[in-house]
Amino acid sequence: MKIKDGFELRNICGENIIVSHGIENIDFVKVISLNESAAVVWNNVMGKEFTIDDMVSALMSEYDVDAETAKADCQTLIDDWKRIGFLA
Amino acid sequence: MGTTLQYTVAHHTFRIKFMQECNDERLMPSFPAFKVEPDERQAIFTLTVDDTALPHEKGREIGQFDTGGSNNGVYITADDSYQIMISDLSGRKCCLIQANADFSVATAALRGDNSMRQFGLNNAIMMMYAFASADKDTLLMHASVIRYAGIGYLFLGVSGTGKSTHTANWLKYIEGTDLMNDDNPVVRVIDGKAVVYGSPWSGKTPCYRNIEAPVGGFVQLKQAPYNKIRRMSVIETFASLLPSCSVMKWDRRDYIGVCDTVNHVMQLTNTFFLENLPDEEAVRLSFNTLTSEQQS
Repeated sequence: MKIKDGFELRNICGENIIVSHGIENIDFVKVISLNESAAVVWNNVMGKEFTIDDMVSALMSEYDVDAETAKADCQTLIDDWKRIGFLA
Repeated sequence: MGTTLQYTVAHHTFRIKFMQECNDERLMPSFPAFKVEPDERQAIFTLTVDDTALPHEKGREIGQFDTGGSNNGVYITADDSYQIMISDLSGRKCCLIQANADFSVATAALRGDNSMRQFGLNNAIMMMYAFASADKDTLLMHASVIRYAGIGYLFLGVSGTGKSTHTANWLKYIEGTDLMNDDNPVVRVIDGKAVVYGSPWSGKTPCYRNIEAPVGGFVQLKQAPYNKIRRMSVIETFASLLPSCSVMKWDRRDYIGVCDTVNHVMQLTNTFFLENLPDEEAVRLSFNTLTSEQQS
């Protein structure tokens, strides 16, 4: 999977906010914010093809968390990102 | 050939060059306060008004966008230059803009009678201004702006929310206030401060003033059967300010420039959410909240 072109993480006054640009995202009018750990994952996987394992290792390199918990959290994140329309 | 005029809005300079004698500054009745003597300084854009400027090719359609007062058909060509067809509310084509990718150079071909030409040129200059200044810490916003004690307060909301009604009530109930602009002020970050400027664009209210004031705060308005004000969170504020700016969502240079400027402005100002009736109590509530912020 891959994060679609045109979605960008910006730090807006301390919040991690995803802004969207590009013709394909012209109708995307939501403002989505990520918490700190989701932002860590985002920054590690954006702009390239990635798997859930890439997300898990990003999370585990930054946080003291066991593999099982990390994987479950990443699956939740994938489901959210799919629902919102971030993933291609 | 042609006549070149120079203008400054919010300290950004631009030039308008008229190629035909049938077009001149009489098409720009809201601009006299912004006219300056021509000199050699850097301009953010030069717009050449040339009724013979027709496109060699028709670009790919990005979309049709209503701005409230006009409809704009936007097309992009293979070399990333823009074509924008501006139509009035009756659907009459008034102006074709052809601009380079960063809107620093463009031509405008006007058509129709005098009122259509005025309409087309005025909207063309407004778009040029917004898109050329987007990466220069500058926002062209949709807001009504009141000044009190030398500070500017901006009221936001989609058309029909009652921005003009609310600011008209400030003028009515609060002594010492004046209207800076009723529809399209410019906001810039200058030396670490947010500053609001009057502009040649002001919607239905003729209020074309070349004045400036530090920003004292933003208020997002919403009609309600009661009056209530509260401070907005960062995410709410971003979601309120960004759609209040003139921005091309499909253009990264423009969009990220505006996002970053909104971020700067947010670091320097406060934004409130005012649910309100069109009455004096609402004005007192927003006045007291905004001006007590200034003292603290």
